[in-house]
Amino acid sequence: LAAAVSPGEIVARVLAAGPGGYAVSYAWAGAMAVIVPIDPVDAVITATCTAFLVFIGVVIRAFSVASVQRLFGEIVGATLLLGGLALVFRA
Amino acid sequence: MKESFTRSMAWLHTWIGLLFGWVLFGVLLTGTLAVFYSAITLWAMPEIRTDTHPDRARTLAIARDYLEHNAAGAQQWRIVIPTPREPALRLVWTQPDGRSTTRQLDPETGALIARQTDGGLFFLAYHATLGINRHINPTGHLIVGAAGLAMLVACISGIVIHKRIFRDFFVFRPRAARQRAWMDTHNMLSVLPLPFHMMMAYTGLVLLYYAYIPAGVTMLYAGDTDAYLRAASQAEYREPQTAPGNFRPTVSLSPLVDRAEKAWGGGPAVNIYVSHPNHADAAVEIWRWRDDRISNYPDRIAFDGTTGSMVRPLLRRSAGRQTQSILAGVHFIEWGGNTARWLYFLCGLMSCAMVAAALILFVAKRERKPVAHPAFFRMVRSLNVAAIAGNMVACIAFFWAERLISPEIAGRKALVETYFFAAWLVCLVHAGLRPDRRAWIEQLALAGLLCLGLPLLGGHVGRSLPHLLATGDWTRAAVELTAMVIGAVLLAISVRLALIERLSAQDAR
Repeated sequence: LAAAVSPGEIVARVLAAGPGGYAVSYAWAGAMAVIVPIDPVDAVITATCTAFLVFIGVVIRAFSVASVQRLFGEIVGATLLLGGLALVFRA
Repeated sequence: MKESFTRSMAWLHTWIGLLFGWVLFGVLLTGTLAVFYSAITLWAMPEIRTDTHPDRARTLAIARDYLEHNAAGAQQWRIVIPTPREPALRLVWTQPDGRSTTRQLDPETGALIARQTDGGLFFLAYHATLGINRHINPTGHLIVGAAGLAMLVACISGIVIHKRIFRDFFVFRPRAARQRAWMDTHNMLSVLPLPFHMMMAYTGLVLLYYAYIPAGVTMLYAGDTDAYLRAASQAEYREPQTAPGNFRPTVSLSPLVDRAEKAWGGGPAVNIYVSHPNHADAAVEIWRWRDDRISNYPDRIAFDGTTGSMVRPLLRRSAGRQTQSILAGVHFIEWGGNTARWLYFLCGLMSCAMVAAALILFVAKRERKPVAHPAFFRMVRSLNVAAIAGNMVACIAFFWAERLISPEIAGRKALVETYFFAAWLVCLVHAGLRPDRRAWIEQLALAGLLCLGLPLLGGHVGRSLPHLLATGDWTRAAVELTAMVIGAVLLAISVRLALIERLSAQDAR
């Protein structure tokens, strides 16, 4: 990110990192909790404590991917994929 | 590509560090103080005697008698057996509507200690939630969680950009002496304790994982956090809403404690929980102390309260629960004694200084060049003073309030906390009104003087520093001596800043 980045792009990346990062890690935690076949409490702990690492990954990615469009594509895609997996495995 | 990644990480490191640094400094400072929360509470309650050697059976009889007379209708009693770290007998009872009351008694005489205070627990609460009860309003708790996450992001982006900085390390830049000094300070404080910074930021999130990202609870427990926590803790609680059975006296507690200690194979019991006391479905759960284990989750033995038969020993837990409780325990540090606590305290001070150096570096880097947004830059300078020096003034003001506010006053806890927040607000206004350098000098001097002067108030409650030292009351004496050392350092920094300012004013003339 050079010094001459437009304010709009910064807002977009902050939205991707904050709410976007939360969406992906929330979907990750929900999916892992139902996919990992262990004691439910252990599953929640494992799913949530790895979700923090996913969140960190998304924040770093949000400020390093060159294209903002691609960034949002990745975030929406990952959230839908993980959210879908969560619903499929719960059923 | 690699070059641009490093540049974006530098940008991210700067801005996430600046915005969260203002919150983080206070969180880290109160967290550092909270390492010694039990010592601070003891210091804040001069009525507690530290030279007691209570007979446990008699202490339990005192506790039972007090609860029978004052908390007969409670849904749950909690008795905290005195230890050298917390030498008072602490009783907590919860009403069916969820309200809880805490009382401390002398473990030998049973005399009530009237003073109401949170003491060190205030710093714990500010560290975890900015002092806002998360069950009423989760905002503070979520801000701290975001700050923890931001700290991890700052650590990782800092490592990425450090490769370049390492090369610059050997470049001598005399013209940028001030900026370079702050950069070197920040690097040293960041790199040496890096494992501590990252471990504490991550384990802080693990401590209350389910409250930050509740997706797992939503999926597997239909969003019922209470049900999840019962399953996770495997507690033998009785639901507040379930009607207790008929009146049946609960068995004597002292023999249960002895049996519990035998069942888990040694190590003292500290907590006794009695659910539905003196009713047919009473349950007694006894917890082992955790000062000699890293895990945040103590061994527990549950008894039937009416018959006294052992319902369940809980000594081994699933791998996930155990991992979480060890990570949480690494953060919470009830283990390791004073050696470990001092190490954590010193590492914590380094974390605070790392953030402070970073915030100051942000200004030092830009103050010689023309800035794009002067109003924003001016705000950054004022906020830096309030976030760093103002926070220190607020913390020491809390200590002063503990000594100055009389123990009988109603609503004392809230009043003491008000001193903290009021002192901080005054510092924020002061930082906005005064020239930047003067604000630093004045607030650091104030924090330093208040720290140095803390022992002046001890005589007022019959615990003067010479008396503490003469009677071997090391815990309370250490609180005041540590405050004095910190105060001397802060005052020295303030005086140095004032001298530099005077010299540069002479140069200008």
